[in-house]
Amino acid sequence: MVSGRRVLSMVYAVVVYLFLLAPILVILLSSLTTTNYIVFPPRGLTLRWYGELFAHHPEFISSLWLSIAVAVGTAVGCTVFGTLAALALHRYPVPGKGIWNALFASPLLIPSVVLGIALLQWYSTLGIAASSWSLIIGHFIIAFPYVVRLVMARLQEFQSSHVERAAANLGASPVQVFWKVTLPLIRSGMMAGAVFAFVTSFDDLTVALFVVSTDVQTLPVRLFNYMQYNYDPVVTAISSVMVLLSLVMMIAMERVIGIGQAFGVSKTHTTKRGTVHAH
Amino acid sequence: MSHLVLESLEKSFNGRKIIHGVSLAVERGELMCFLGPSGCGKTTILNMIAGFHSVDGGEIRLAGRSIGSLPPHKRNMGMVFQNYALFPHLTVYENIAFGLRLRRQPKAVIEEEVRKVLQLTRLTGYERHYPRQLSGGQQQRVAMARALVIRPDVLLLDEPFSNLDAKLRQEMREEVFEIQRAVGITTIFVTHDQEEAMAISDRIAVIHQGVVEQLGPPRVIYERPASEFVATFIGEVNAINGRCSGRVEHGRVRVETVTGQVFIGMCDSSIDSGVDVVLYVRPERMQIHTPGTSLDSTRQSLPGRIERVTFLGARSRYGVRTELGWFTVETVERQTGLTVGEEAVVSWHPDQAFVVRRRSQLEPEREPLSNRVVGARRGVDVGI
Amino acid sequence: MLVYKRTYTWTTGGLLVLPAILVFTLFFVIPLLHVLLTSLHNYSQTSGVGDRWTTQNYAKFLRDPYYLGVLWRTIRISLVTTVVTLILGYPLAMVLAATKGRTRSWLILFLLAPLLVSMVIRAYGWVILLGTQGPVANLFHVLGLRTPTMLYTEFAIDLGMVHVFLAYMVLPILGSLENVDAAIVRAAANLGAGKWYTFRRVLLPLTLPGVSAGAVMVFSLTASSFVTPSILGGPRVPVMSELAYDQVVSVMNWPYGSAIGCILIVVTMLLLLIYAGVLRGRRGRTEGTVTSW
Repeated sequence: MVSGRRVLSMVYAVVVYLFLLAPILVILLSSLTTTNYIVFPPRGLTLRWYGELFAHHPEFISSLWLSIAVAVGTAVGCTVFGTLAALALHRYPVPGKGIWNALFASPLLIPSVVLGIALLQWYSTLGIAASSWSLIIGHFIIAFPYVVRLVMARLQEFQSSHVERAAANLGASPVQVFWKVTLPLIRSGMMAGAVFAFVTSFDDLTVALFVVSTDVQTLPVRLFNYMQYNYDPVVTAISSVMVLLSLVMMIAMERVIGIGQAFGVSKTHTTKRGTVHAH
Repeated sequence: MSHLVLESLEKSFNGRKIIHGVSLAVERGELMCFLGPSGCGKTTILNMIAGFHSVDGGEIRLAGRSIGSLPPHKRNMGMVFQNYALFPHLTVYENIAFGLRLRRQPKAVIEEEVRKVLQLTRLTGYERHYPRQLSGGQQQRVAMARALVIRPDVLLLDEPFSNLDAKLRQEMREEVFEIQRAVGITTIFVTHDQEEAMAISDRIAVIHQGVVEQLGPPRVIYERPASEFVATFIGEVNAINGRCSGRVEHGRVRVETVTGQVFIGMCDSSIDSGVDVVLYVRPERMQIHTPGTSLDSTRQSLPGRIERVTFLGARSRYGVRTELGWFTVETVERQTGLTVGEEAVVSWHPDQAFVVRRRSQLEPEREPLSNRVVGARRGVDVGI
Repeated sequence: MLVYKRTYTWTTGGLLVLPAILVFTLFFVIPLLHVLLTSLHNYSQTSGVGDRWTTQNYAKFLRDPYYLGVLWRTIRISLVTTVVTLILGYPLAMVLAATKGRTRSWLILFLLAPLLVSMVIRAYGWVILLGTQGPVANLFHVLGLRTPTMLYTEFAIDLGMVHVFLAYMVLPILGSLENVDAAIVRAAANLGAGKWYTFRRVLLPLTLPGVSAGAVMVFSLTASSFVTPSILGGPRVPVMSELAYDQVVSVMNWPYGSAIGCILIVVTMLLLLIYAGVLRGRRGRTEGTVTSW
């Protein structure tokens, strides 16, 4: 009876996971087809479309590099300024704290389309042309809330444990407390924030659609435009490259912080006293 | 000259005064305990000494030097936090070496000092462990080692055992006591646990609502409480309300109850006739007898009826209802031959009774159940 | 509170937070206000944004049944997505909460991994799956059934949205399930409550915070989605954000596109406020019952 329930729940989980992974698996597999059009299941096996991609579609490759550059810029900017803002709002008597907290969280409530429209109009008013910088600024806005929240959560988590007081008590000046205790302890929050910012930027289509020009296009925009008029396996090939990149990101994330931690889920049920972690 | 002196220390939070002029002096090498219920201000005072709270009024002097305005990192006070506050990202060794590195000690000295303190706290072999890999007792010892290794002028302990289970708490208490004696360091220990305070302190400062209610060695605090609060907070008492009706010789006063009975008790402060007072007798200082037993003429007594008998192994407890309220008597005698429902007489010697000024007008009706619960919680080892 | 008075001053704090405030003011607050202002101007064939103040754009939207239909579709898709992710996600969260160790790590990893894959790609996977030559259509064909149109329908959008946002529902529910003391569930069983009764009267009320957090998140994310509906629905079944995009990018009618954007923000906020109000009312009621009990 008990094992019956267990089997049932596992079957349910497997079905849901198949649903979650299905479209991604379909993309990966259909990039290997020998046909000139996309078909699933694929017919035959070939890497021809990857060759096609690298040989005849340099615009995809340059878009990929642009996307990576913008994502890195967003991650760095968000992490630096997000950490500073979180520190200030968490422990300095900054006037108008509530307003700033609300301001930094509000991009979550504003549809990306509206932000895109706003930036389009504002950039054209100011005469700012499409560039990696104009993209980074847009992505900075949408990724910032995550970084502030993650760093803030870490600050909150260890504040009650008085470790900073302990360091001061042992003779550390405020500057030393920051470098030797505060920073190492919020590092995991900062890294999670950086990864989030990177992924948010790398994945963004909506804001970028409004900011890009014909020459400056991120990979999602390039892909979106291409797939409106083409139904050939080059789309699935470049998509597979992106999936593999995501996989690398995922493994990196799992190695560095644990993907569950980054999303605020404990990996093991009890991470309290007694559990020995590799450090 | 006293080592650490607090002089009319004051502190307010958000315009509300929390500490009302606390003055006391801790001698070199002394272990002083701040004892009081939670929220009494004891931790606030400790944080002021450590420098985590600013001083709103008064002064803190260490070896004659005023330190009240120094930032925490310039005070050289070792502190053990309630939750230990170990650095989770550092190993045991690095945790302990933290303060020495800040003091720019040469590597060899650091290694030697850490080794010695690890030995002292029986942590040798755990250098490479991270705090979360240690048990509660081990974490406690690391916190102690980390505070001691910088050779602080004063060691501050903020409820250091409250996160440990009862048995471990007792062991750690002994251990800390021994280390403190071995090092000979001036120590302030904050706790709400009176048994803990009694067991290891040289002197106890009982703190209540931001003032020091009484300061003295454990035995004096227990046997001669200076106030109603101290008497009821520490140990268990039987109370008789009355009015002072004059002094007698040897620091005793007469207490007249509403029923017109007169009792005599010890009184250290000067109380005028007509002042409302309470006379307290500890349960273990009372005796219980069958009616008609001839008592020593110096003893005072009250008749009543036994309503509860509790056998506690080494001791027995009797709950007796008298016309002056409920009395608890604790005795080691096995064969008193008394059982529930019988008439009995409780008696005590006036030297064992102490009289303090009554503050609260609302003396709650002493009910057997609450009395029992209070007794169990506040029960104190009498053999100290 | 701390004595570090000299270090923890508001000037230092202000300096730390100032760069972020500047960027947000310059590239978030002002542009959004600009959108609001644009939406209150007339459309001009020559310059795009005219110089006359008007509420015409809003009136145009609210009078036209087509546009109202798009608004209603957007709300409908958000509601369907929220309900379906809840129905699918709650049991999954329970399964996750019940597993331990390695299995659990893997399950959580594979729940989160799709989030790292671009939404464009995930939507395109569904295009392949649901297309007229896709495996689902083939299955219908093999079974000798008439193949229904799946791609470029509201159903396709619902499916894609559920796929994208399922994890956003599971995570908060999982979080609140883990906060429920197992002893409480055992206590309910001990008192004679059946599985269903325990779930309905104990587990569900205790995890309500997680459920409502997930619901709020999924609802507002779905309502403002652009990628999934535009790839899976296309121009035949537009939602609000597509409408705004088309007006701004294709038609070049910035005032009207801005107005649609503002309406989208106001409507989602209003719905969330109503939702919050309903929740508060519920909570008030339960507290009442407890006290009267």
